[in-house]
Amino acid sequence: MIRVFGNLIGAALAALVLLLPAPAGAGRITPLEGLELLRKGFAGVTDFTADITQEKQIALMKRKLVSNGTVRFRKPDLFYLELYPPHASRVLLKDTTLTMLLPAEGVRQKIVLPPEEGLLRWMNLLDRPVTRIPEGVAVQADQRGENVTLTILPSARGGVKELQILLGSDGRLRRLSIEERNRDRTVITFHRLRKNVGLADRDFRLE
Amino acid sequence: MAMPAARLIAATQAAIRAHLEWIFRVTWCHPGATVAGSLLLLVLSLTSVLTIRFESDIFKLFPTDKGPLRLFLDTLEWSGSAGEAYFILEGDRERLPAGAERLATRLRELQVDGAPAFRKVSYRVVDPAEAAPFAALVTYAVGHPQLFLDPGRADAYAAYLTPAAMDRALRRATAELASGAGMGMRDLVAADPLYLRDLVLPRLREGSRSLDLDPDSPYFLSRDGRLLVMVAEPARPVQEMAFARRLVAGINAARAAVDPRVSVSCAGAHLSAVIDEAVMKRNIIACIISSLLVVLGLFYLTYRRVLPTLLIPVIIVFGTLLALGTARLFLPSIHIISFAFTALIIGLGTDYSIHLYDRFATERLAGCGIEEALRLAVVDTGHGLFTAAATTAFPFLALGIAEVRALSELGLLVGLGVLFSLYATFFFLPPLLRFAEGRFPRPPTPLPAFGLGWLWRATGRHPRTVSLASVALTALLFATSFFLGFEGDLKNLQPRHSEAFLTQERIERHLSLAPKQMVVAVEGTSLEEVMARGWRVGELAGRYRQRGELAAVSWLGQVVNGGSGQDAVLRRLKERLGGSSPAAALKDSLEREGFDPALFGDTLAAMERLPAARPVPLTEAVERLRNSPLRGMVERYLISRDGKVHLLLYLHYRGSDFPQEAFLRELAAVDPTARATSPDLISRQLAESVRTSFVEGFAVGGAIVLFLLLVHFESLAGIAAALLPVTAGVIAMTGLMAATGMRLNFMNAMVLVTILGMGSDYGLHVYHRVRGAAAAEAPPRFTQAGRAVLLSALTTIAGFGSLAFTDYGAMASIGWATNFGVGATALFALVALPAFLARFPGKP
Repeated sequence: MIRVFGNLIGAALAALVLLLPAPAGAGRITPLEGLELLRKGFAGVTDFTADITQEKQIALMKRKLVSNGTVRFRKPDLFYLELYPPHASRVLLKDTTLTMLLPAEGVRQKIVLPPEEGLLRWMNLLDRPVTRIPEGVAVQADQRGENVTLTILPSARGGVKELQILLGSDGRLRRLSIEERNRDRTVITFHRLRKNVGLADRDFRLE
Repeated sequence: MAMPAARLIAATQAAIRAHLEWIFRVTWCHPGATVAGSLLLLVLSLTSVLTIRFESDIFKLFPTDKGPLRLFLDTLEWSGSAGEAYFILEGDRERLPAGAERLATRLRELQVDGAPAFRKVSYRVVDPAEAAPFAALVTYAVGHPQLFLDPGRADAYAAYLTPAAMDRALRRATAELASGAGMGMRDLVAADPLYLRDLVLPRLREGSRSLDLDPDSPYFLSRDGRLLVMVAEPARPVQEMAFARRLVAGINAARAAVDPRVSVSCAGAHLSAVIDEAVMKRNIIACIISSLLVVLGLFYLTYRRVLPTLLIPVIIVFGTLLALGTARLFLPSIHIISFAFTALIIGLGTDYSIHLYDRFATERLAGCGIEEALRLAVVDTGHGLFTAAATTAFPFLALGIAEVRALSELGLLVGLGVLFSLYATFFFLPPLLRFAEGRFPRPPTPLPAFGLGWLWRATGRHPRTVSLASVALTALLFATSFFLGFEGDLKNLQPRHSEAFLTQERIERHLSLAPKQMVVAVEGTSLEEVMARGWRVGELAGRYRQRGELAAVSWLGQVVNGGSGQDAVLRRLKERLGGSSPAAALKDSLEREGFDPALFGDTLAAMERLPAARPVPLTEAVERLRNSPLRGMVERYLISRDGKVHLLLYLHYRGSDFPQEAFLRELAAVDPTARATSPDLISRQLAESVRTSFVEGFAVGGAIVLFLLLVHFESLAGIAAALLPVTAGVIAMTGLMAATGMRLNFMNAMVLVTILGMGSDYGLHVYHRVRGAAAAEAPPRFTQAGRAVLLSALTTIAGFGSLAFTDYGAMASIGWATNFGVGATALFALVALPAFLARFPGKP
């Protein structure tokens, strides 16, 4: 999951954190508490939508790609990410089936992911209280002032080097950043998040 | 009759009589020594039997040293598929990947004797761990269009190299990289920023396709999404049975851990060796026991004597063990199917006890003493038995010369079993009867007549009607027999409920590119040589494909261009590119679209070389593919063994659409040394082998039977009486097979030979007893012989009947064919023959 679609799933998980209230009182926080915080954010959420700004620095390119767009999620396993021009794209992930549309180029691609990369598996993980750090990742949680940073470090096997979620003083996530081993880096900032708005099937159509 | 022949017959007659007299003397005077000698023989046989190795591979039943079957077995060995284990997961599409993941994890963790049980477990089209090597292959493939581009697409390739097209491709790359799926696209964008892979990869994918899989799935998933295939390579060969047994136990534990909503079935040599062999052995043992119980029940119900009944299994076991022990002296191993035929000894071996005891009991009832009754049974009826056993055993033994192993082993085992059962009867039954009469004396009681006396009188009253009815029935069944077809498909001879067989069938049904496949092997000493010849064969196959006679053709030449193909691509690209520099254009475009040209060094270098590119040696292309994730494709098409290179071309066809004869003729003209194999060619080869064996067996067996009948009766009338029922029986057998939808096959065709020996006994016994009898004596004599014939037929049917219900199609077909033949022969011997004897008294 982390190798191929880390930014997509990361965006989904990070958006969930947006729904969280701020941790009660400032102080030190353990990795398990940080993960549990993430998990609790999922409780009671059936769907959400948010606007995003994505800044992507790809090692192959000299310039940074900056895009605005929107994300949508609906339980149990639907996730939609649309980026507006100049680099327009729409991606729909239904558990393990990912479909990408590039409207300007007229390109449509469908990829079936292995089950360990499916969205449902990750959502199921969020159903249970976190009692230990999942295998294959290391987790750090830091609290500096009123900001909480949750850093997830996948094992060396994957392409993602570090996934970082930054929670602001108002209890809402400011930023998600993904750093890859090939030096690519993605930063997604979230705005105008709304939860349980009753997203319908039409909100997850690529065309 | 010529004098030398007459002398030979007389001498043989005298020798047989003297031999039978000797047997009677030995068993009457020295019963203890007789039993001791027999026990010594039994111990020696047991020692020999314990060294027998049983085999279960169906292909080892047939000659495999040449022809299509040899090539088929070669391809199995070359591909390694002969030793691989296949798993079929069935269930809902959504559940299959998770089930496969769980099973694969268990199989990879499986240990046998402290070491991993499998070298490799695959169920994904491309392993995610091979993303980097795949990207490297893409870089090489798009940079060497002369090798991998279809010559007809050279213009399209050139169109991708214009500055405008490059800008469009890089904008697409930018959008993909920016998208939510960008991380998965990065390596491919770096390998091929111009999307030239859209022109190259479809051809590579098509070439690597050996199964009809869902193109959208990363798994070996059928198009209907109901079936997922997993292939695993066991760490040790199937010959190591201890390993195979533990492996199968581990596999069973692994599949038990999979979601129960996903069913997992297995196929492969290890599983067949362990599971099928065990099932088959259980099957055969159950059949042997059930037929033995039926035989003993029939014998006891007729004669009501416990000790002779209990002696029958002793005689059968003795005969079987001696047959196996003796056969072991000639055979290094025995096939499990051949072994199954020893069930026939139960039916055939019991016949001699029936005839001998029946005569003894009849003579005792007539007032004879024990010694006289035994003498008449051993010497007089024994003569008939001797001829009958010889006419049964020698046609079977004649099959021993067959080149088809199934037939030679069957012939040897059953032939020896019949002879040893006869001698066991001669040596064991008289002492036992003498002991029983002395120890448990009881007055002789009438034996059941089964209405045979009435039958004799009835047929004697209406001989013309019965004869005509018999002829009419035979003629009708003869006409029906012309509708008897031939079953050439080996699959239908395999165990019908075997898991391995059913799994293989499901793979073919769900995943085959076409119902049938022909493999053509072009073999030589170098890659260049076989590829040069392969292109000629490929062109020939291509013509059949264009005409729609082949569904698909796949071989290495469809993926890699040869010299002329490379020249065509390069020539066209040079024409289209003119003096332009694609490398310079790409560098400018990368700059314009914000990419860093320094990170596209391989692509730029390839574009730099393109205007002056030259043909690439095929060895380089093959080596590249062999070291890429597509290595399986190369291994499927190209095999190097023992200094020889074997190039394989796969021709997929639907059936009769493909004129194989015409293709083979053209193939021989194009490449005289090319070999070909297909299910049809294998069937034809096997049919030819069986036909040869049949003709040889029929000729030798028939000559022996005729000679023995001539020796026995010294008249053509006797021969005719013996052969009349069996001839009509064979006709009835083929007619009934056709009427019941059965087909002749490689195995049951041999019943046509063996029935000759078995069936001639019935007429022989009847005629032996009634010839020359006065009118008053004939009915009781017919009743005595007829009762023995009837019981013999029933016990033989019980023996063969057990085969008819086995899971092995081959054995079942033999069982049914023999039952039809024996049943009809007995009917003609007991009904038609008396009518003919009455109709033509003195000249039947």
